Amino acid sequence: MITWRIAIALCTLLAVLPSEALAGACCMSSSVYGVGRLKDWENAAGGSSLSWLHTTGAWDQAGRYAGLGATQSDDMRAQVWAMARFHARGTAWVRAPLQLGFRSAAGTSGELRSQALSAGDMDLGARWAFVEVGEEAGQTAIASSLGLTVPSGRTTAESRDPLGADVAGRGGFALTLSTALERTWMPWFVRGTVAGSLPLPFEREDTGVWQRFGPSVTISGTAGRELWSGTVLSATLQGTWEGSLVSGATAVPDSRALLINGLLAMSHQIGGEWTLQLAASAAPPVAGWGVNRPLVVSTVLGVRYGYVP
Amino acid sequence: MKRWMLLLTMVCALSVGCMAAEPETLAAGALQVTASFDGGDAKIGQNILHITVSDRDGAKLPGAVVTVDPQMPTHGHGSSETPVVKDGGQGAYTASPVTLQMQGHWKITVTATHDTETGATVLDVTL
Repeated sequence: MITWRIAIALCTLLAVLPSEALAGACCMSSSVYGVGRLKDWENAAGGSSLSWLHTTGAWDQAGRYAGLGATQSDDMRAQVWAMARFHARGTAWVRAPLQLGFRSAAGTSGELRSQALSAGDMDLGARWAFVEVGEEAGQTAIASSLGLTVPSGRTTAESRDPLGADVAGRGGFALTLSTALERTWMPWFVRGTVAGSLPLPFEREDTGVWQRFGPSVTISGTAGRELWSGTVLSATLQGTWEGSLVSGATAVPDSRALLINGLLAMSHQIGGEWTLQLAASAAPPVAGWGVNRPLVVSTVLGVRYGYVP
Repeated sequence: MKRWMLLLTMVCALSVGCMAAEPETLAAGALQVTASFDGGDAKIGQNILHITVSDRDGAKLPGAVVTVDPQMPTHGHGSSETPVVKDGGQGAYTASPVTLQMQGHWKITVTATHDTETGATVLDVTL
């Protein structure tokens, strides 16, 4: 509930702030959340983040929401990432998460608590800017990214924790292609992103059956503005639709998934090439906003360093 | 418009729904296998499963090989623990821990083999 109050306060702040001119369009949205992109004058960037993910419940296959009750499911996720320019328009990036999971649930003799540290699935990819942000005034920026998820995280079949606190991976490779359009009207910017992901089949260790998660499409819309020089606030609404899981040669009934969530993010330049990043995401715990997905409320604190030669 | 959509989203967050678990038992095979959770309902976490195995005439069968396989078919994974089955005699078996570590739809398949005959039951549980 506190997260939603913060969201309302930040949205109100976005709307009422004066719109005096601030930094250039080229750097405004680059570091607001996650890996993002390089600024025009940077050759590389790197960063780390610490996230707290609290699961409040889940939507079932019919989209009905149920709270977790007395069960606890929390994760703390540390992540390091790096990005480097290989061409004036091209950058490559890599992201590696490390997860500390906390679980508490009913045991066979009283309450059971567990925690475990494990590596998550690693992501790497490349981004190509057809029209870079700020390249030409009044023009919409277009960039595409091709990403690969590497199943470096421990799967449920490999879990050694009673409540699966060490599970941090899905088990298979996945290819993701995304395209983002971004437009700037200083001090505002809007961004629309469409991403398609194709998980590749893999053999499950416990059953020996080949399995492939359903292909997914993610559509997101972001609106943000620079509050004052070096500080950017943005709000994102995002929906992900995932197709049926295939086990053997058969599509598993009722395995399609959906998740619609919102994200608020803020970045603040703390000096030199260092930027502090804050973000929170959640979804309303009501029917229809998710299918076959947990509701995870997350808060993220990150730091970014841009390397200028 | 986007601000109104966000505000509507936040208002929706004030209401919370919930759903109870509804176990369902199915039977198949020459042997009759029944299974029920200790205390009646399955819960998130570790559970104990009480199993009975009998022949087609209803006579209880000790000494059967019984396996329990909890799976989340819609998520594409199983349990984080492998249940251990103990023969309590007179056709009664106990599987523990049957760990259902997260919310969602679980299919727990209980299979029994005695001599050349087999039987199975599947519990459908939504947590």
